[in-house]
Amino acid sequence: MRKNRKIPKKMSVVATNTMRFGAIIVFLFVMVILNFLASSSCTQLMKIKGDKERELSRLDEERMRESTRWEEMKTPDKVEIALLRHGLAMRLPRPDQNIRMRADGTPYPGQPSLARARQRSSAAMTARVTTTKPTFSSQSRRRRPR
Amino acid sequence: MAMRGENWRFWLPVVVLLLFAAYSAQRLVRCHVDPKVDAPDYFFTRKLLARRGSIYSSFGSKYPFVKSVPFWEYSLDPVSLTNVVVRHKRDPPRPKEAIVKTIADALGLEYGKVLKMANASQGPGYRSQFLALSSDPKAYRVLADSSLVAGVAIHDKQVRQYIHGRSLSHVLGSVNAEHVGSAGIEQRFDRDLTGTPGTIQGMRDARRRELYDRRKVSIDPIPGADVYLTIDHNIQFETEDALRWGVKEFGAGAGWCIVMDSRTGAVLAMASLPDFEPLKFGRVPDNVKINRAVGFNYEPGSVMKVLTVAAAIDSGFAQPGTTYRTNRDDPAYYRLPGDGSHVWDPTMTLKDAIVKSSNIVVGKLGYDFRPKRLYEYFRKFGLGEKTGIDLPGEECGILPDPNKRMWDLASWSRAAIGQFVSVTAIQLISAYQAIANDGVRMKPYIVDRVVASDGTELLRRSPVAAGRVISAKTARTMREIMLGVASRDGTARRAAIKGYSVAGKTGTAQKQLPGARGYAPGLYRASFCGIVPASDPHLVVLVTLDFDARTKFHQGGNSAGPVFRRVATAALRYLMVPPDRPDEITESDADDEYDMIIEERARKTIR
Repeated sequence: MRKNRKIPKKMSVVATNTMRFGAIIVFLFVMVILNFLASSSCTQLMKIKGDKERELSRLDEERMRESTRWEEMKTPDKVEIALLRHGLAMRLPRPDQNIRMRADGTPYPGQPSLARARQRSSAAMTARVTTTKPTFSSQSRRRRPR
Repeated sequence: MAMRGENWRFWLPVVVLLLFAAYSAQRLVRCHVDPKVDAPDYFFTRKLLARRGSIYSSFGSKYPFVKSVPFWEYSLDPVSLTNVVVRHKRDPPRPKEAIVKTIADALGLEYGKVLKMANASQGPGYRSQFLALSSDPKAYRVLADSSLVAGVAIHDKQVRQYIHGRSLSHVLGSVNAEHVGSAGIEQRFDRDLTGTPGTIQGMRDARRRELYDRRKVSIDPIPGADVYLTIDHNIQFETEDALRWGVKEFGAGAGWCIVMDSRTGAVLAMASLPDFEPLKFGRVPDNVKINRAVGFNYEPGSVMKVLTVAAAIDSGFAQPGTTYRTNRDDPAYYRLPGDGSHVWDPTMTLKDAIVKSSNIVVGKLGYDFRPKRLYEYFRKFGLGEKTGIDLPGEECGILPDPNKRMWDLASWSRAAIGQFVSVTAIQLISAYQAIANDGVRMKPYIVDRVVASDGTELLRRSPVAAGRVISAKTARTMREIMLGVASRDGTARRAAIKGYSVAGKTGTAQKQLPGARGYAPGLYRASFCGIVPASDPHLVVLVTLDFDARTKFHQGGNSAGPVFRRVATAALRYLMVPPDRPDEITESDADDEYDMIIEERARKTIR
């Protein structure tokens, strides 16, 4: 039975499917071009990314170096030297120069430092009053301490 | 047949296109499916350095003690320097001398030295001669410019920067060339401080530039965790300054000082002299490397008397008013060491024995109290075992267990006055802290927390009670007794601070002969351990000066006392601790000792 089967005549692919074949070729060509374009764009992007990465790393390192330089200048000995160079001999306050305050801003009662501060401020006010020229406006009278 | 002649016009472009497509497909396969077909030289794996964690003061991340900073390490290859043509665009090639001059100027090196290196043609490692380690970006820009120089290899390096220089060197420790912690906090927390390095795997082109789109692996490095200490850098500065002054002023060979928060056991400052430059740790002698505040056992001397008397009072065995005779020829006590000229009373109460530091009275008390009970109390005070502070090399002191090894009869009284037993400074201050904290000993700690780079807390130390040693009443009684030491009648009047009550005790311990029995004549360790303010303790300060030569300032009250006063005055002022004796402060105190210290420091600096 197989022998009797009619062998189909070989037909030219080109002749029969020229349009289809051409479309495949064009499709392939387009795909290849697209791949190249995508690849090129990808390379470009990666290059930019790499540059940014390096820039970030450089800036981070620079920041680290700068912050270290600044921190080195903030050590107590360096601060003291810097102040002394400007003629400022800074010292920690004496215990009687501290006034301890409550959270609401009022001082704790019974602090000798507070009494001294009040005394000093009243003395200063008195001094100010005596050195200020007498004025008779209502405003200045209101400001005058008791 | 006419058709046949025209077919080639169709087939030629088709074949060309097919070949092109096949080539492209093959390239795609090579690049994306099996990139290993390319030459192995194009592949690289780069390790990204992870930043080692920083160590900060108690102030937080703006005040570091140690940081890792990126540096560039420059090395010179004379062969490349000679062979590679260096030119800018169409300029003539730069001569070797000009290149060497550029290198020397950029790194601040001597021209002659660099030229000598550039002319080297043999010797081990002559093709990679170390030039400099620099963090200067300007130098980097010059030396990385191939149109200016050649033959300079640049490597990224992380260099450990010790911001405060020698300050706190024993606590911070150091790292070796491989960035592995080799001492101090650097060693103890090495695993946390060390980060996880990152990796980049990818390809590069013929000019060795990375092809970023071919990057296969990109893992960012994870920086190491940061360690936050309880050390306050300002108190540390004042402590070191005072200790340095004390060592120089009194001619001591070494000295150590600890400042502790009496309520929490947090160490606020820890200084040990002689100190060292952390970056030169490898070249530091062993006796300098040792952190004497934690890693050195010594007989404390009279500062132990406080613990003995506290134990006796707490157990009800004695009272502050209990009287002892001061004769030292009593054979029952195995000839206790003499009391010096300042103790002349025939009888003395325990209170006076502390104030005047009587060896005989406290020795007799210790003898009568018996070793087992004394040992138990000493153990409760934390002697004879490590405190567990986060520092390597901590010693545990020497406190023989009388249950295992009999104390000889002389030791019964000697242990009570600070001989026969050895302690470390951290143990001693911890024991005093128990007295300051109404009898509850807190575990001393120096590390507050360890924080990972993502902000996760890996460790947090909080105040932990090690146990109650004595009752609160006994602790208060002891503080009252100790008030007399820094008074006019006591052994440490130079330790008194105006405006504050100081409860403390002096110690003048004879130094043992190295490798032999007995004590070295005339050599002492002078100590002072004080609690301020005694009525409401905030700080405990221990100062010890170690004398290598005979000096007239060998007594605790004369040498360690003034150092204590300097340290405590500055710390109390800095912490703004309210004075418990404000009436002592008058307007005329404007130029007190602290102010004089500042003026002295200013004079030195300006000079």
